[in-house]
Amino acid sequence: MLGSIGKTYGGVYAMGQSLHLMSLALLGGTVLVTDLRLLNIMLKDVPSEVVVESAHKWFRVALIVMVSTGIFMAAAVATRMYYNPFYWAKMTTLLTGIIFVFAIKRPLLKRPHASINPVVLKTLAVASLIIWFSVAATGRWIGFS
Amino acid sequence: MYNWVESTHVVALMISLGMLFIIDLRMLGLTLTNVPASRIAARLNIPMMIGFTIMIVTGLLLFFAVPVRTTQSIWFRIKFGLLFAAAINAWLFHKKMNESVATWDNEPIAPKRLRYAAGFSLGLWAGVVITGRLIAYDWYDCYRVQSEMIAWAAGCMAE
Repeated sequence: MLGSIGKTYGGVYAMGQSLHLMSLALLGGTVLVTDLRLLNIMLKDVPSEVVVESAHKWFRVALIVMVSTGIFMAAAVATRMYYNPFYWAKMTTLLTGIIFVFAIKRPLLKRPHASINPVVLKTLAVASLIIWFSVAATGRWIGFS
Repeated sequence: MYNWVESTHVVALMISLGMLFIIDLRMLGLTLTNVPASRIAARLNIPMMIGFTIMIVTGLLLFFAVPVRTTQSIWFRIKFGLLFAAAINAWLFHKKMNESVATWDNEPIAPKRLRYAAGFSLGLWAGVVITGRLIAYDWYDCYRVQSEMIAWAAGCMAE
């Protein structure tokens, strides 16, 4: 049903795409704020725990909207997506990102940050930036192939 | 090359709008409420402006790749108007914020006028993203039969 709505109504599909882009921007904002703070580049005078916790709430909202609109968009062009290598690249990076956040980053950052080795914190931040920027870039390339 | 420029445009949008969303949400009292508002605005302003600069440069490159069709796109014209309105709103927002921030900086929520400006900002940028996305669709392109009003608004010229 989702697929037929997206295929039939171009305007609704375009709104789905726009929402997808906006949620990607919000997700990018929360990731950047968190990771640049962990790298000691931005908001150095604000406790990193405060930044991480506040940003994560909106990260979850952005992720839910991004995945929901992504499912809607993919449903309308499911066969084309199945044969698109960039679609699978994006799904791989997205899944990596979700596992990374909820199985590694979050459990680790729940501890007091002062008790975590700074090298681990910085590695975590760099890995997170690479993963989420790859999600955005591979997502854009789906449309080119 | 076009694909690389467009991908960079999207990544720059992720940086600039991402920062803008966080600043606006702080003003609306929806995030980082225990951090002074001026500190959030000042610190996030730097990556936001870097993102905007990249977005403008890549946006210009995208425009000059297909100048005629883009100029005659009704969506591009609306997007440009919304961008202009968002720029004025941002200027007024910063002016008002700098004038009054000392009295409410540590409050979890900004005064009413600034909350309206933050809400406007979110709405205007949502419009910019939507119309930017719609440029790719040819529903109102000049080569199609259009109503007189659409043809006028898009600047279509008779061949």
